[in-house]
Amino acid sequence: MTEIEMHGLTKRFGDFAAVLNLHLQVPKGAIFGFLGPNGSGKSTTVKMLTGLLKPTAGEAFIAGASILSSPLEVKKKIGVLPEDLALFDSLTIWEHLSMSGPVYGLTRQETEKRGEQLLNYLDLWHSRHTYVDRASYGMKKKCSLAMALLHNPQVLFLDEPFEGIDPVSSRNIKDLLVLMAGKGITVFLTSHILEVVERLVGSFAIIVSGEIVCSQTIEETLRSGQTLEDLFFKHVGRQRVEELEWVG
Amino acid sequence: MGGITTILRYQWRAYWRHFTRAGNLTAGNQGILLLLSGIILFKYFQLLGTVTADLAAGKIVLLERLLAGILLAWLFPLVSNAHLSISTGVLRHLPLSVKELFGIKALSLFIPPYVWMIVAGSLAICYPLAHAPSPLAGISAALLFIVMSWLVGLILAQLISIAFWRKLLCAAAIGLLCAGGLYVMSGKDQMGLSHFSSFLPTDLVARAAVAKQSWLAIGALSGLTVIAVCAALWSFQQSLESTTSRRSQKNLNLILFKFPGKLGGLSAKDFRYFRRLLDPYLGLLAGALCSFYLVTADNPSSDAFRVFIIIVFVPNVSVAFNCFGLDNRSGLDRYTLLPVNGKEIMLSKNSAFITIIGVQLLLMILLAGWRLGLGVAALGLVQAALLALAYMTWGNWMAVNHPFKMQFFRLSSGGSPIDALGGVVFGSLPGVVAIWLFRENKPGVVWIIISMLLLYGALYLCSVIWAGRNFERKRERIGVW
Repeated sequence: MTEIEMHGLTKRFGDFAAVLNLHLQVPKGAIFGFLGPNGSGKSTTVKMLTGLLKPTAGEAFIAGASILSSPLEVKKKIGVLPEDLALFDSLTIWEHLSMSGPVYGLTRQETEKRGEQLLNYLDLWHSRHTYVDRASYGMKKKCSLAMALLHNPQVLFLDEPFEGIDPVSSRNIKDLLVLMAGKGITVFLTSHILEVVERLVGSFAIIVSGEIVCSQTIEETLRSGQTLEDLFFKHVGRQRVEELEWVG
Repeated sequence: MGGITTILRYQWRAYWRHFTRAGNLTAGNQGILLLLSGIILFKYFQLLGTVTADLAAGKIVLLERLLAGILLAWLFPLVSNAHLSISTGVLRHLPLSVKELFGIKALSLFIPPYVWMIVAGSLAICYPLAHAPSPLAGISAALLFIVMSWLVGLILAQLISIAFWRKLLCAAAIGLLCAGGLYVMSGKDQMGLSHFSSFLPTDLVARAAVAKQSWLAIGALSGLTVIAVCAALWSFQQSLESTTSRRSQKNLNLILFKFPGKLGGLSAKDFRYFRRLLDPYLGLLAGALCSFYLVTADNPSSDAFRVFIIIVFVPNVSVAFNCFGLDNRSGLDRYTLLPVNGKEIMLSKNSAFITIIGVQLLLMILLAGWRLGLGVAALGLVQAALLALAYMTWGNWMAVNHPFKMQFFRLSSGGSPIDALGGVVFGSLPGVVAIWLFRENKPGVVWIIISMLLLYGALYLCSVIWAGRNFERKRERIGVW
């Protein structure tokens, strides 16, 4: 059963095509890696799938709901860790969870119970009363992740989930993602840390200049005798750069 | 020094880019704002002629009032410096000393053109002083006074950004208001407090100008200026340190669940945001003044009470008309990610506005019930409801179409004064009509009031639906400050 479907998804900013004609399908319960260099269109794609940006053309379905005709239904089904974390200044970490729970239809008791468990899991319980604008980047990221998980979404979109996270929390998050996928939750993540992606995801796609250049499973990659890194550099390439003679 | 100049040059560039990126230099109706400031300056220059004649006759009252006006004018740009794109906080990683950072902060406040007008207006006070009995002493004292006013504004702006000092200043202001109220109520100068006025800086300048112990007055002003310089540097250092602390806030989260329903958390968040803007405190002050009047007046007038209700709404224009002004891009993204539509977001913002207004009106309406009767208090509630509906109707339209950035613990600035003025007129209209109807008390007034409530209720509902849809459409453009 397909949980994420993209049909010709396109986003243009004026003449510039940030994402061009994406066709992709992610099955239910998969951990899917969406890879690409900076500015390749990864975050723009996630933004379109999560309702932050309207596509210029094309259509996508999340858990059977159209992002164009049923955006609210989509939002109820998904949890998102966005690129900019989407947090409010001057609210504490705990207040963020307390605020978002009822919006997703959770009761106060349910919100508090789940919030406490999540914050303990992410090693954030003792910092729960810290204002997010005074929290470290890692704490902010964990707060945004907790908000994404609080309502037990069907599909999880994570934009660079491991960047700026301490090793213990990073390990906890990885374990949690595997557990969630085992229970049928679909995880769509972007990351630059190829070693982590290789060990975590079942399938992946590489996007370069707004177009998908490769889409396959990790198993297929390994069977071909290549690593994910080999494949990534093969498609993305590595520009020759001038040596900085003045350094040192 | 080179570093400071470079940073100031980029501050200048960033400030003006705010307007040029908006498409043209008329963004935020800066031209009209300058025109209004020009009209005020014109009136001020006219008064300077009167002060010149007064000083020649030894009268100093008007001079003292103008000096007090100058002090207040210096508080404005310092408390509302929302447009400065490069904050001092982000400069801390550069190899600059605290004194250099302070220099950057102090000098960058002179970038906006309306500050140039304040500088010009302040220096113009030297004209009448040049014709005073002791011109040199008067001008020297005035220059010290201007520097001191600038420093006082700087100190206040810096202290307001620190939680402890904010609370302390708030407590001091309430204490002073209560003490002042009680003092006025007593009707006598029992403690001889009027003698203290001779130590006020405004009086020191006047004394220097009319050759009453001129050099003593200048000495006192110099001392006060030195103290102000030290206090400004100290408060700047404190404000820098406070930005890095990660304090735990245990007690404040309790407020969140006091707002019921699905949107309760969002409303509570906006209530928190709105009460961190300085403007609603002016409304609170108006409410306190009305309460004071209702308690102390022998025969309080119901008309005065109703006028006060209209006045309380006016300082809240930024909260009503620019409800997205305190949200950053990241926060607006969260609104989009949540499973709520634009209409619900507008409703949550509006309920936070009603709460803010309710807090400001609560005491005066209760006191009106006690002093003027329950009927007057009930009609006051109806009038407040009409005003709230009208303000929110206009505000929902403005918030989506003309949003502008506001900063916590600052007075709002940067919006179009014409839009705000139009909103105040539109918003106050039902309140004024209600006062007129209550005064006339003709048969059928009840039906007219009910019709007005229905009309404004319908307008409000349309505005929520319309603004909600537009928010969903324009969200990507809102928050790009």
